Amino acid sequence: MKPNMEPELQAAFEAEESGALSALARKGRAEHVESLREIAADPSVDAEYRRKALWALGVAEDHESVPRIESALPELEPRERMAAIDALGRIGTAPALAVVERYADDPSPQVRKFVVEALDRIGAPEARATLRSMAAEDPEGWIRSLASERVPER
Amino acid sequence: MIIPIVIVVIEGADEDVDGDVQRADQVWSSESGIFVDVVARLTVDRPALQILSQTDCSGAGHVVSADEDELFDLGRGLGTDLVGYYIVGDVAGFAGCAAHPPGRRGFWVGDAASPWTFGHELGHVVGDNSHVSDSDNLMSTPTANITNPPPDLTADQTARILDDPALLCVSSIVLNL
Repeated sequence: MKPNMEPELQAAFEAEESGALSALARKGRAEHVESLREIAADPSVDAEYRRKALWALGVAEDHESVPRIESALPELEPRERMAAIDALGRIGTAPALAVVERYADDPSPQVRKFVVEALDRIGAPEARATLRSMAAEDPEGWIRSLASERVPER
Repeated sequence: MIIPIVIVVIEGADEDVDGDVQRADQVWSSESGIFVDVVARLTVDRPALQILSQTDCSGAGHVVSADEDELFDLGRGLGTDLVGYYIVGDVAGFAGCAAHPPGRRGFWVGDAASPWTFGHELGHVVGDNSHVSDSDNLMSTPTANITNPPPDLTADQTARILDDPALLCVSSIVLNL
């Protein structure tokens, strides 16, 4: 299902590139942010819209959306989980970190890639500890390499 | 006139390089007399770059992500400063983007691309053409909604493209052999 949106937001969703949506997300108009939260949390909305909404909530650094993203995550497909984890990394709060860490063993290597990037972005000591674990233990070599690159030298 | 370009395909991307170049030629040659010349084509196995983390797709003030920094390093030093990348997409799922790190001109095209995305993104980089509202035009957005294909370029857009230093005259190439 295609969501109902205010025309400026709809045009940004349907544009060729992400520039318009990232600009709107950064402006953070209340009605736009609330629309993004609703789209991200609605399982009846087409996946391509949910993915963009999740990403935009991260660009907006919308702390209030963390519980909704957390609730939505278990039923999202891998591409949408990537956007959700990316958003949580950009939001960067302690509750967001707690959610990100739970996906360090996601079955999709691409989702785990975004876990690595989110942990690196958050940068808290607990995030670094999880990165070290992924660098040592992830079953995919390229994930271990990526996590190793992001772990600061002691 | 030709526009030389290097093409880098990240393994796993759903690409139609030949079709995209042919369609770009169809628009660019008829409107500007310019043909796209793929001087090198690479396929790179880099799963970390299949789906790009990207903060924005802005011309001015673009924030270069670590993924973009790594991607836009590929395909350099092969005879032209212009590189087109085929990836699965950005994490949000947009069709393409022409924002690039300073000094490393290029654009990416994702699996969500339309038949005209390649030519459209090329038009942002070569000639620095912005979006327009005319849906018959290559620089309208989204290109999936282009009407009356093949799309057009205006005289002003063509002039901006012809001013770009990346273009090569065929006669100058012959003289330099």
